[in-house]
Amino acid sequence: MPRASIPPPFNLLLAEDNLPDALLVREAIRMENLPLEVSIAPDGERAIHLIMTAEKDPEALCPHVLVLDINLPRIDGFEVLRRIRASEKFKNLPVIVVTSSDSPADRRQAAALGARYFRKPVTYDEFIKIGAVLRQFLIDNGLI
Amino acid sequence: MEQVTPSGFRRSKQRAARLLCLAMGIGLGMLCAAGGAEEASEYQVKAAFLFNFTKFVEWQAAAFAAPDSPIVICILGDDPFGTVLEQTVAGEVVNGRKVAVRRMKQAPPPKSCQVVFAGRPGKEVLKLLPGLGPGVLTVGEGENFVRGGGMIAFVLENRRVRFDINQAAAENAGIKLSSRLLSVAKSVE
Amino acid sequence: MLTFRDIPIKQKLMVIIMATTTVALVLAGVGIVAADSLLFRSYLKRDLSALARIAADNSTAPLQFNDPRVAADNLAALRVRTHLVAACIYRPDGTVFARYLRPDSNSGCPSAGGPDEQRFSREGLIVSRAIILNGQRVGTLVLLYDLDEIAERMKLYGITVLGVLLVSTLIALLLSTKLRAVIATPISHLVGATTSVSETGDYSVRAQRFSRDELGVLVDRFNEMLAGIQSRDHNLRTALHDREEALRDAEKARERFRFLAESMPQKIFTATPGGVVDYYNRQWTEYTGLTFAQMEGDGWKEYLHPEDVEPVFEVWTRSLATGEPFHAQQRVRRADGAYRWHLSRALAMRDPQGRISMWIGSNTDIHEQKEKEDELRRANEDLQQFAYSASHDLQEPIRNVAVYSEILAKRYSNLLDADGRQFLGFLTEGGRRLATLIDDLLAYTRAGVVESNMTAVDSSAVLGHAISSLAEAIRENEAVVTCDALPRVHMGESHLQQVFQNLIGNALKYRKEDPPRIHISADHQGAAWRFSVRDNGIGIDPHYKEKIFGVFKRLHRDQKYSGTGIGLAICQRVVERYGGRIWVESSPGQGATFFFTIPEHAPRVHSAAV
Repeated sequence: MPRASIPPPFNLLLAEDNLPDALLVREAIRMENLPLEVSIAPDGERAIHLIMTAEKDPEALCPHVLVLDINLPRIDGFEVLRRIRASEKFKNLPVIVVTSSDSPADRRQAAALGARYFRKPVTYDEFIKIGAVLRQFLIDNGLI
Repeated sequence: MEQVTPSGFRRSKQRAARLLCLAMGIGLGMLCAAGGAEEASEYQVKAAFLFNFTKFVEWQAAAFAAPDSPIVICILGDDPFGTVLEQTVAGEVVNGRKVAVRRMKQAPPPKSCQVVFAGRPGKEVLKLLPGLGPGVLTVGEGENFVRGGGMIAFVLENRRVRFDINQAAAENAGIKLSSRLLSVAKSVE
Repeated sequence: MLTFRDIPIKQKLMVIIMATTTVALVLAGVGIVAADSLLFRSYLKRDLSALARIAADNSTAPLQFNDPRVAADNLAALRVRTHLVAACIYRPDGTVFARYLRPDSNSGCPSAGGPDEQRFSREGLIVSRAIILNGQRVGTLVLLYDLDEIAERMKLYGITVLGVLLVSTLIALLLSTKLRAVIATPISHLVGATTSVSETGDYSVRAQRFSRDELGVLVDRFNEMLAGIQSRDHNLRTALHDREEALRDAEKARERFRFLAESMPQKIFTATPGGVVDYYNRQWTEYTGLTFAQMEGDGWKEYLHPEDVEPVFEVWTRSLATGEPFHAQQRVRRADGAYRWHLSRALAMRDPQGRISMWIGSNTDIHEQKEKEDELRRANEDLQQFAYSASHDLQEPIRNVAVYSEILAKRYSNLLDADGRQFLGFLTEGGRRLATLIDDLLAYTRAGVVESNMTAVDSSAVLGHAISSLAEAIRENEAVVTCDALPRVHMGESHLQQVFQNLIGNALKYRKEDPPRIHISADHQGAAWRFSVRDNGIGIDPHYKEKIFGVFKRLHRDQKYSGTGIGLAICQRVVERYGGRIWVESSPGQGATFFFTIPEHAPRVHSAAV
């Protein structure tokens, strides 16, 4: 999917089962004024389903960015990521992996699967950073 | 003399034939003991003997007039031989000298005879025999001959002709008689 | 019947000498006799020729003068020659002129033949001679001489020769009898010496040398050989004796070992350097219920648990190849069929040259322990797993509380009064603390999880990761982190990173006014690596050196220094997990140096869970 040719707003798929956490992301995006439309998939299965649908159906919603929680019910985040990376259409999809804990193993695995990484905020300051991180992420991926 | 040359051999064969005849004659003669006609007459034998004597006698060189002078047999006085002696000696060579026969009425001069046959000489002849000179063999007949100074004398023994020899006389005359001759003689003095 | 080859040398020599002598003498004798015979014949011929010549000469006159008597007498004079059989004179016509016949002869006159010839006929030697007078042949003389003289002569000669032969033979016999001793005696002496040696086996025997010839040389060499054999024999005996003694000693040692092995309660086994088990003690066979024949060689496959056969074999093969001690945990089947865990260990016994002469091993029943261990571990794991997931699940709501209360405080504090703001602050603070605690708890439980890959990691690379994850804090504090060359260690990467992170984080936290200077180094201490993390911070009172490693133990109130106090506890847990130790050396105001050791070779424990 050519990046520069897509007009904003971009579709951000947020795979997150914890509603408060999902709202935090949304709020961070709003505060940062990022041109992102957020869709939420509450578990791994739903996330994959959405992706697959987008893959088959050109009319369906096509995510341009994915924010992926690791600890998803049903199918965990890394598995979802693997499947995405295996798909033809979305193998280069920009993905940020989010997690509660900061484990080097998780970091490594995210990097191995071609995804950025950030921790879920514990403090207000950390929460504020999310926006900047996302902005930078979009810039890095040539979307803005 | 022992060496027999081929020619000599031939010659001796001839001689042998002749002698054979003679011998046969003598033999026949001896067989026919009865004093009849003898094939080999007495004088034939004596002639042969006379000739043979020359073979057994050595004369000094001075006895000859010349080195090639023949051996001359002289018959002094009566000649009982007739032609027999000439026949016997014809063509013979003894010691490289021919043999000749002469007849003499008187005493021969020196060196003219090497053998003198005197027959049965009388006393006078007998006496002069030694004086004939050296180198003269005197031959006679009868026993008295040698007693009288003669050198060889024919004698008859059982009708066989034999001879006596007076060796001393021969020596005096400078004549060497072969011992072989002596061995055959009837008697030697 | 002995062949010539086999008769004794003495007799051989005799035979040789006598044979040669006899043959020589006989040949000589025969030669002489023959030669003499020939010579005599020719002499006879000449003699008779001469005689004939003389007789012929003497016969010329009788022939010429026809005197057979004289001729006969002449011939008769020849009777003095007793061997004259007949002497006849032929006239040229072939008739006999005169003759002499030996009284005893019964033959007549021999025929004339040629003129001059001598020929041997049956009757005897016939010599003819022509009788020549005056160059003419006047007759032929023929003599017949019998050969008795020859025969007599030959007989005489023969007897003489024979006599000489005998005498010579006798003398030769005597001489050779004496002289053969020169050869035979030394030989028989030598033979005697060799026979003596071979019969008695006494190699000190020496042969006597009699001469300097080849026999002498033979004797000398023989003696040398004997001397050599003697010394070698002696050496062999000594070596044999030593060997027998060594074998006896070895046997005794083996006996002692066997006795020891059989009397010990342990299961003892021995194996060849090639790894073939050649001995199991009584405890083994009684335990497995198998016979030694069933257990030896490849029989161990019989009593080991099928799952353990291959892994144990691999470790065993490795030990055999390297000579390193062998240990493995394996399940051994008891006679009743039950498998029980055993710890199998074996050591290589080496000879003075360092070569492995045998492996001695034992098996110890650790079944109960193992079960307990397994139980414990399983319980541990379960607990960990529970703590892990529990803490994960706890994290989310706690975090939400913390964050949202802070958002509330930041955005909506103007809606609250002072008390309300204070209460909200407590809420926020509490939530944050709770979130951090849960985090640390998670980290702590993670520290107990066994990492799957246990290869050696490059600790300087791991340090790099730790530093980059603390990059912001390092920057904020204007800290300088340095390090020396760091080794590879057998440790989980994330575990090592955790430790570095915690220690460096602490160094950053407990700083003085000056920018923190942190230095990491490592050195070899015995069989372990000792890492050190040195800082120039506030230092630690030695009184609390141990306490700081306790869980949740903090020395300072949290206003000044953040943190839950679990960091060092985590470090300790991790380090001890790997068989190492962690401690600190410090004095207040002098900074602190934290040391931790990681063994060089992580203990390889074979367990079913690996």
